[in-house]
Amino acid sequence: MDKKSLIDELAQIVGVENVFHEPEDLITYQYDAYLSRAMPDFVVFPTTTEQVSKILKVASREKVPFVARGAGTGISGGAIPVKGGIVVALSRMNKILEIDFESRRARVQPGVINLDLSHAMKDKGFHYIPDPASQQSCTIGGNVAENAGGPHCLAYGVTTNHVLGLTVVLPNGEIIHTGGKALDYPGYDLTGLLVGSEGTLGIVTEIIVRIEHRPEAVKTLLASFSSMLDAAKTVSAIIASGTIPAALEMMDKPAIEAVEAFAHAGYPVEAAAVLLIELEGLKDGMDRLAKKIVEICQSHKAIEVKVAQNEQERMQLWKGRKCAAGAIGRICNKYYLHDCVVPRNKLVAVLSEIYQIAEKYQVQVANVFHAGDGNLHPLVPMDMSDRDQVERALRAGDEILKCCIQAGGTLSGEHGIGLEKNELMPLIFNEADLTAMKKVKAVFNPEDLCNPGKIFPTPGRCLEVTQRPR
Amino acid sequence: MIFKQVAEIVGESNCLTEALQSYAVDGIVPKLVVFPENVEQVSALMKLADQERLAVVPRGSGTKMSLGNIPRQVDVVLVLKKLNKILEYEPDDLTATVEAGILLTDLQRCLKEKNQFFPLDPPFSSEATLGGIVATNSNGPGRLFHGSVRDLVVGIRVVHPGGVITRAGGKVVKNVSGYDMNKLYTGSLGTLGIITELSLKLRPLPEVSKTLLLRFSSLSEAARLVLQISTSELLATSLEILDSGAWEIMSRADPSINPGQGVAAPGVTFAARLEGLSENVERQIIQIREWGQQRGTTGAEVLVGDLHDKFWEKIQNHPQTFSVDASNTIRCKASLPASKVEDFFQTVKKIGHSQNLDPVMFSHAGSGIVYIYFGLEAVPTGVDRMSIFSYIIREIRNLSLQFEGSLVIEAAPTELKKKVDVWGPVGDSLKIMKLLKEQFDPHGILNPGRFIEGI
Ligand SMILES: Cc1cc2nc3c(=O)[nH]c(=O)nc-3n(C[C@H](O)[C@H](O)[C@H](O)COP(=O)(O)OP(=O)(O)OC[C@H]3O[C@@H](n4cnc5c(N)ncnc54)[C@H](O)[C@@H]3O)c2cc1C
Repeated sequence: MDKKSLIDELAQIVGVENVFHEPEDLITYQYDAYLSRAMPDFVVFPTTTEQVSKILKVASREKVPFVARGAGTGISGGAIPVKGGIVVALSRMNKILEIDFESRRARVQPGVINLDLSHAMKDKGFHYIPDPASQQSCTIGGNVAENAGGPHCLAYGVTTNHVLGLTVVLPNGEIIHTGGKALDYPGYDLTGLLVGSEGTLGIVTEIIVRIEHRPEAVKTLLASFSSMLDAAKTVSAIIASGTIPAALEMMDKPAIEAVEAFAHAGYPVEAAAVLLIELEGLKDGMDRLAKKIVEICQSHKAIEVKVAQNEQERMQLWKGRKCAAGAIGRICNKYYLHDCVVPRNKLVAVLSEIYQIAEKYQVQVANVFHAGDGNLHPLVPMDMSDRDQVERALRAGDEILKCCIQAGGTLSGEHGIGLEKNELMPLIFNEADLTAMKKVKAVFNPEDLCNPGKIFPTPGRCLEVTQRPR
Repeated sequence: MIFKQVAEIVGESNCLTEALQSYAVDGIVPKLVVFPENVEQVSALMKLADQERLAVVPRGSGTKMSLGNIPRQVDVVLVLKKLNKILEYEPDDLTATVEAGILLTDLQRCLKEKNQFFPLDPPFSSEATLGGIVATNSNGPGRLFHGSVRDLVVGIRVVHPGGVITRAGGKVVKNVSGYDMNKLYTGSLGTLGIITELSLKLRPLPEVSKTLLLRFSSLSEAARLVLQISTSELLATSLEILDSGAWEIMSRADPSINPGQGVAAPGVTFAARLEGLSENVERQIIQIREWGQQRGTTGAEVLVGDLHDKFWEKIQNHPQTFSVDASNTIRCKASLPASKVEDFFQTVKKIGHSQNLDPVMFSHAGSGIVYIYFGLEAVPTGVDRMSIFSYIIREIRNLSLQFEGSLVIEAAPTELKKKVDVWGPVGDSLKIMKLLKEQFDPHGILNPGRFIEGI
């Protein structure tokens, strides 16, 4: 089928105004928040499951590759159409279909923005818990595809723990329903298998999520340390003490300095590291718990522990953490953001090694991360005009990843494999492990038209690192 | 012939060929029972079984062999109980990696030394193995707060038909590297592979743990109290409802769980398990009690220490508590949106009464899980019992589906399984499930016929 007829057929499904095909309209759909790009041939904006089904039927009949797209905030290149074809943009499927407070469930379309869902329930005191730092713009569909995490996932679990049912359009256009509002259904847990499959098994068009009452009380502490290792030891000590805070985030000196220059969150710039600790739950006993945390910090040589006295102070403490990525983006023209995870009792050892690696390759490294889960985000600034420096930054990044894996860790805690780390999958999975995953893919996506080129190693592929500032 | 090959793999002392009646599945007696000692042996057995097209039934302690449809064939029962080691325990990381045949109780005992536990409280607490618990997605009252099997398993090792060994997930608590295969194997009833190793998320033991029991004259008030709590800022670990039959069996078996006779009046029993810091446990008891009073509770009781433990042990082990005679009991589990529990309870009672039956019912109500127990004896002999029960189950199943839930028969006599599918409909994702089965077990040697729709 020629391009013109394909446009006509897509336009018949979604309306002519909902099909983009002119190069200037397609430009923004080459990217997500990863360092690469590829041009799609079409972008379509469906509004219903049936439309998505029809689009995929056309695509599979014509053997045109396609990629679902939420907000394009993904960091591992998940939404980049590496083989061209159709970008199925879900931004207009953004309705909250049902909120069932009594059963604590909501049913939403995939294009709903994460934070909008919580806002919609605010009056009733409810919220949707997974809170990626990008929650003002990322979509629930994108969260499902990446199994996104966030600071508060430490105590309550990541996206997969909050998703109970899906409507999915399979790559051949068939519509299936998995799970539901209840907890258990007979058969294989396809919902669990689909969450985190990075859009390679089909397009999710409806999602049933858990919603919960907001906590009665919140207490936020900021502890600063004169050594990064003391902070890391404190994290391990808090976990080992039997307390699981709602959030336990860490930032090191380069990150603190960037944040202070940008956001003035009131972090002590002389500190080598800060821990942001949030306790949630009932107000009863909260003070005693906070005191215990303060004591653990002090016994690990904290130079200062601030406890937010009101909501305004609390927001102030979080402000620095929330804008950290943006703040660091201001001091360098580009950076490489890693997402490895290590066992929490290895944090101290791994962090010291990360600093050694940075020194060895003469690159900077800033750490802003979900310490409580062991989910590191070493961030290596890159000067794109300096080829040699970029090369060193990338090599340092590789070594950091390998060091995490050696410590018993994994490649990605929340950003996904995408086309960023697919070549590295053999570092943690052997051929047989990957074959088992490929069997799953063969069932759902036998022709590999649905988001091709992601997750699995594709030998011989070489991608351009673009000049786009981020 | 096969015996010889199997014996070469595991040693003669690890094979049983006689008196295998107790390993029968729905009356089908295996030819051989094997007890491999390590994953390599499991792999060699799976290679042989695939070559010879032997139907393999994986088994832990055998507490859930009643689950599933009648198998098409049973050749070898593969018992995992000798794979029972704790491979790694990292208290400071709150994770552990164990072999699949380890008993949950043995794991818990070891974790307790470090003031930690694996936050899963499925039935058969003293016999069940971790592998069996994961393969059957077996959960308990604590899932309201701690989550289900799928939320607590972070890594898995599986032996596939043909003998290939794979790993998925990892040992860290957060991981999005590749597909989340843990979820595929969880609840797959050993139809895709044999689980030999599991990595688990652990929790610290709570500082305090107490029970509040309240008695209501109507189900409705108890059910609404559950919803009031679960949609509030309170953080109960479990919220249960027991009908009068369930309470009677429990308190008859152990009168001490009602020490002050606080819940002696007839009616429905509400139970909350409250855990955490002592201050917030006390506060929740006071608050829930007050809410209960506003709803006209007729009695209250607080259980602590041993009594608390005993009470939850009985709830957790409900199949043992409520099936006076296991071979003569039908146990069904409904999973529903939590708001539907009350309606479901009432309607099931009516359906039972229409046949002159009064099922024993209790519910992990905060989680929308309802268990229904029928004693076969309740129907007089001479009447076609199986027709009556298959009628009742169809009615209850329709009701569950109408409420957007599901109904699974967890235990029933083989004759009943001939009349009703124990799983019920799977819906439009069945085709995908069948294709997955074909990919992972092309010759259909694993538990053939026991899972959904002939898988
Ligand atoms: C500043 C910043 C901060 C971030 N912080 C976090 C964080 O704290 N935690 C975290 O986990 N991530 C974080 N991210 C990463 C990103 O926001 C998440 O991965 C998010 O889930 C992506 O959502 P999206 O809507 O932007 O998806 P996109 O980027 O559009 O797509 C991501 C993937 O999902 C697939 N997809 C999208 N919609 C569907 C659908 N309906 N059906 C099937 N597949 C679909 C796409 O094909 C693609 O593979 C951050 C990103 C940025 C830029």
